[in-house]
Amino acid sequence: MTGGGSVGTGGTDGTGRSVGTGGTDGTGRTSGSDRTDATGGAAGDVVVRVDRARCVGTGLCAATAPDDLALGEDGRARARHPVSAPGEQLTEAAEMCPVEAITVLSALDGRRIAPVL
Amino acid sequence: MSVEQRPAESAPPLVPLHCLRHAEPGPPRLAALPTGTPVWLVSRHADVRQVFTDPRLNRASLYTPDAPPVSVVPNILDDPDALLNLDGAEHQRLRRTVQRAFTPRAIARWRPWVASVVDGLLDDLIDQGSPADIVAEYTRPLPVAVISRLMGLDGLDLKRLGHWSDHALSATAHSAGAIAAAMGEFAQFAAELIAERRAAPGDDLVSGLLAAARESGGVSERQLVSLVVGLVVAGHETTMTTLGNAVVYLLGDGRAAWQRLAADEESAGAATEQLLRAIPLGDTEALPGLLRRATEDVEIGGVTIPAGAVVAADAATANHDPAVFPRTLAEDLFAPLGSPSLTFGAGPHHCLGAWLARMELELALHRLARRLPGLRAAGPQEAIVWREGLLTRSPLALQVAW
Repeated sequence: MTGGGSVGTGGTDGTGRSVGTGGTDGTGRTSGSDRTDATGGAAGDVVVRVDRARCVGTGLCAATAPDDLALGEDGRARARHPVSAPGEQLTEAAEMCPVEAITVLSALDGRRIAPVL
Repeated sequence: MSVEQRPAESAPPLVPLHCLRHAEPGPPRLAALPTGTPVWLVSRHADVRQVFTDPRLNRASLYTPDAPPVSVVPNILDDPDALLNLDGAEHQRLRRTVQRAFTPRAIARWRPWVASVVDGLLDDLIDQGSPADIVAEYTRPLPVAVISRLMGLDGLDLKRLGHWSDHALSATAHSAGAIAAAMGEFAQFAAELIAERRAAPGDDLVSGLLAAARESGGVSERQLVSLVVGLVVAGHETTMTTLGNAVVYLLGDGRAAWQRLAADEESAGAATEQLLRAIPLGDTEALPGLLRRATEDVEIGGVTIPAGAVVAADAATANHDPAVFPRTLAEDLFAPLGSPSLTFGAGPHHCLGAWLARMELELALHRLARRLPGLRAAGPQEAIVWREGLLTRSPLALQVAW
C-alpha cells in the first residue's frame, strides 16, 4: 500500500496530523516542492492531505477509502499512511468530501491529483 | 404561507431571533422533552460537536421499537426513511447519491446563475416601488427559485409547496392528521416526480440521484421519495428563514453594518458566517436541540450518558459559548469565525446544503445592500408578524421602505 518511506522532512507522527514539514496549518497550502525529495515512494504514489481545520467529521472519506483514511477519536479525518497508492476509492473520497478538506497529491512533485477543480 | 397566527390573548410579542437570550453553556444536564421523555441537554461547543460526531450517538435508534417518544406530533424529522434518520452504511449509500452535487466546487458553478436570480428579484422589487413586503418579494422567492431550478421543478405550485413546507416542519401549528395528510400529498408529488425523471432523465438533481442510486443499488423506493421531499423542504425553508431573520437584524439592531455589507462580497461572506452562527433558526421551546440517542454508555463533558438515553445537542447555545465566541454579533459581524459554528451540525449528518445556503445568503445580502443603500424597516420590530408553531421561526411578512 505505502511506499514505506516518509515524505518530506517531517514524516507523520502516526496520527496523520500532517504529511510533510511539520504540520499543516489548516490552509493546506504547504508548497508541493517540499515533497519532491520523497524517499522511498514508488513512482505514482500519492500523499493524502486532510485539512483538519476544515474537516467536519462526516466520515464519508473513511467509509469510501478505509485503507487510506480514518476518523480520529476527535471526530476528524486523518490520513492513515505517509504515502498511499493511488486508486479510485481515494479519488472518490477526495471528490466526495462535503467540505473539500481532502487533497490527493502526487508524492513525486506535489501536483494535485484530486479533487479536480 | 398558511401558518396560523397566535390567538390575541397569548403572551407578549415575540422578540426577533437575534435577541433570544442563550443559557450559559455547562455540563450535560437532564431535562424533559415535551413528550415527557428524559433528555440530556448538551450546550458547550466541544460537547455539542462530540454529540454530532460520536458514532455511539445516532439518529436511527431514536425510531427503533424500544425508543421513547420524542415528538408529540411527528413531522418530517420523524420520518424513519429520511436521510437524517439513517446511519452507518445505509446513510452513506443514500447520501452518496446527492453528495457530489453539493460540494463547494459543485455549488460554486451555480454562483453566476444564483446572482442573476438575485438581480432579477431586486429589479422587480425596485420596479414595484417602496414600500414593499421583502419576504414575499425577496427572501422567500429566492430559495424557492434556486431549489426549483436545481431539482427541475418547473411549474411547481407555490401555494402547495408552502402548505407542504409549513406542515413538514410543524411543531404545534397543525394536527397530526393534517401533517400526515400533507406529507402524504408531498410524498405522492415526489413519487410522481421520480417516475417522470426515470422515464425522461434531465440534468437536474433528481435525475442525478436516481442514476446514482441505480448504480449503487441498495436504496429503497421509500428512501428515494423521502430524499426528494427532504431536498425540496430543506432546500428552501431554512434558507428563507435565515435570510428573513438576517434582514430583520440588519434593518434593525444591526443597521450600522449595511454600508459595509454593500462594499464587497468578501465582507458579505464573512457577515453571512457570523449571522448563520449567531441567529438561530427557531425557538428552543419547539426543539431544545438536535436529537440523538446513545447506543452505549458514552461520556460527554465529564458526564456519563447511559445507553438508550436521548441527547439534545443545543447548537444555538453552543454557537454563543463565550469560551469559543466571546464577542457579540455587532462587534464581530465582519470578523472570521475563528472556530467552526455548529449551525450546519458536524459528523455524518452535517448539512448537505451548507454551501448552497451560504452562497444564497451572501449574494442576497450583499446585492440587497448594494442596490438599496437606504433600505429601512417600515414598521417597528415589535409589530413583526411571525410564522409560528413551526420548528423554525421567521417573519411572515416584513414591510420595508427606501
